[in-house]
Amino acid sequence: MEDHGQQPRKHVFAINTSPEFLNIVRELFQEEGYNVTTTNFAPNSFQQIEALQPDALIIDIAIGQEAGWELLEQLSADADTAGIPALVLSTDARLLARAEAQASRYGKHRYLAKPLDLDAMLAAIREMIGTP
Amino acid sequence: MPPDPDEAASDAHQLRHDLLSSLAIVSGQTQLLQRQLRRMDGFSDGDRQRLETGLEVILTAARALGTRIEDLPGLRDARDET
Repeated sequence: MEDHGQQPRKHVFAINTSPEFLNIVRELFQEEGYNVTTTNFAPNSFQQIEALQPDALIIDIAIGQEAGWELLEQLSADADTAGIPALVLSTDARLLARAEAQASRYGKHRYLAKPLDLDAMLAAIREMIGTP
Repeated sequence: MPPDPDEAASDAHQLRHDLLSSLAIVSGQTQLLQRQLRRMDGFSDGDRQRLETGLEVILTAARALGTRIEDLPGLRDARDET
């Protein structure tokens, strides 16, 4: 896990299996003034989020991998993390629509289909937590 | 032996995801460079124009390829079966 910010600014926590994707997110949000933590999916991802209490999450859901969905369920079920908003990304818009319809299970989040539109990602995070 | 339909669909689904994920990196990195270029000084107008045009060409091609992937019959079916 890498912590790229030093000042007490709004904190975005991005989690993904692709280091290239995480680099893009880190550069984008750091340039906009956010404090950014990036990490790969790991068995202790939930504990990391619970400990850091970021202002927002960016979670990329990979097809065929349950880690992202399980993490969302775990976050939604825990009182300490249920209030953390997430921007959920996937290459499958239909999958995202189904998840959005199950807010009681996965939490009430924002969903964006890939390929990435950086302006849309920034706008979504700003809507959720405001400017840095 | 004919391919297992479920396995074939799963492979197509994974392929679609892998292609679009890779394309998302190309597209995302290009957009990031566009944003950074807008803030950079020290280029002549001609050089800036060439860089902006080149990045736009990459982004346009990546978006077109994404649309092609979405529309490929085998991969479109994979999406519909999700």
